[in-house]
Amino acid sequence: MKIINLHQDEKNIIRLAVENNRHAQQQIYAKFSPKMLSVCRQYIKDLQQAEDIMITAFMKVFSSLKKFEHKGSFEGWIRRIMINECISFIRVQKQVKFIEDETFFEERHNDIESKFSVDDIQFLIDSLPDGYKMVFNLYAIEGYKHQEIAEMLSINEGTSKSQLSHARKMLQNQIIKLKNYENGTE
Amino acid sequence: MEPNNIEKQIREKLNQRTIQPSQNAWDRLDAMLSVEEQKPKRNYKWISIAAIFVGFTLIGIFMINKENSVENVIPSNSIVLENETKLIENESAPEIENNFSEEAGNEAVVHQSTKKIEKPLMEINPKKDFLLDNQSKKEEAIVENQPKESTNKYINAKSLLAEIETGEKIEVPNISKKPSVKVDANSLLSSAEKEVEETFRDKVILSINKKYNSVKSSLANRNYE
Repeated sequence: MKIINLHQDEKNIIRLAVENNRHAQQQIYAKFSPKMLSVCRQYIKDLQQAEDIMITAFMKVFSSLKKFEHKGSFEGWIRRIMINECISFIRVQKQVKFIEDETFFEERHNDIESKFSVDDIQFLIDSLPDGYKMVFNLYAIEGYKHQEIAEMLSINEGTSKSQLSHARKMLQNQIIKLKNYENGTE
Repeated sequence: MEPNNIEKQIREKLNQRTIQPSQNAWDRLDAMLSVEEQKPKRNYKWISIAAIFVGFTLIGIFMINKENSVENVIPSNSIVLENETKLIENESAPEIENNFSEEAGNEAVVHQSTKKIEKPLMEINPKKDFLLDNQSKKEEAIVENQPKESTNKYINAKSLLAEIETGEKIEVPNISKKPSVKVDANSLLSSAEKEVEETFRDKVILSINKKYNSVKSSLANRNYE
């Protein structure tokens, strides 16, 4: 019953937000903004810039809220808008160009058992070039398929695969460096 | 290409992470939303309706103009009418002249009004400009024309007196030219009948055309000068 009520509440809030009810819009913002800022931060290193993009993306969320059909999860819908905004920012502002390199290698599974803090993880991701970072985030964290990534970034599926393999290789090297640094061997 | 343990760890930790936005983030978004709301939303429905209305009126005006252009007989009528009025005026002038000059001279004047003999015309033309401008001026001009025409006739008379035969010759063609004036009168009558049948709107258009043609003819006369 509680879940149904929550669902009904969300529907009502969305309906009110569509009618430009500022209180309802603020409720949506308050509920999802911390998580969405985290998503934007995955793609953009600078926190202030990530916040700017999140605000712009929320503007798009509210302007296109009437198009939301309540079929999937509302959070997933907002998340998708955030990711698209981040990708378009990186592609337009930073003018990232993908090299049509389709050579990728089957990397060995490096089952590193060590635990990393979320800051360490963010540090590792930040160290990746923008192209690698986008493909890695979309594939490994968001769970998109290579075909979908290729469409989102307007690249070949092979390029997406090669970008992921390069990103993984670079990450492993970074992890080894980080581990060595923590163990005091380096 | 299976995600390995480290990637699982990355995904889980990042999905759990939340970053609290800055205090003024909502205020900025609120301001942006307010600006967006204040933007005047143009009602394209009404604009399209207005555009269609304007389009139809333009088409209507175009069609009416086309109909008028088909009825271009009107301008020709107006020209005829104008000529008639000129003729009437010119005919009235000879009547005044009749008091001073002889019958032969009168006939010569009528001939001028219709056939426009070269010499008198050259003298009259500058004053015809005035004639066309205003009726009052026309009358004045006619009055002015009379002595000049009479003087011309006196000169002609002198020359005619010198050569009586030639004078007789002039009289003969004048008589023969009278019917031509009569033909114009018939056309006047027919056109006048047509004018009676025309509607008020046509009359308005006629008057406009008359004025236009009068200006046109006056300009043409200036060119003759």
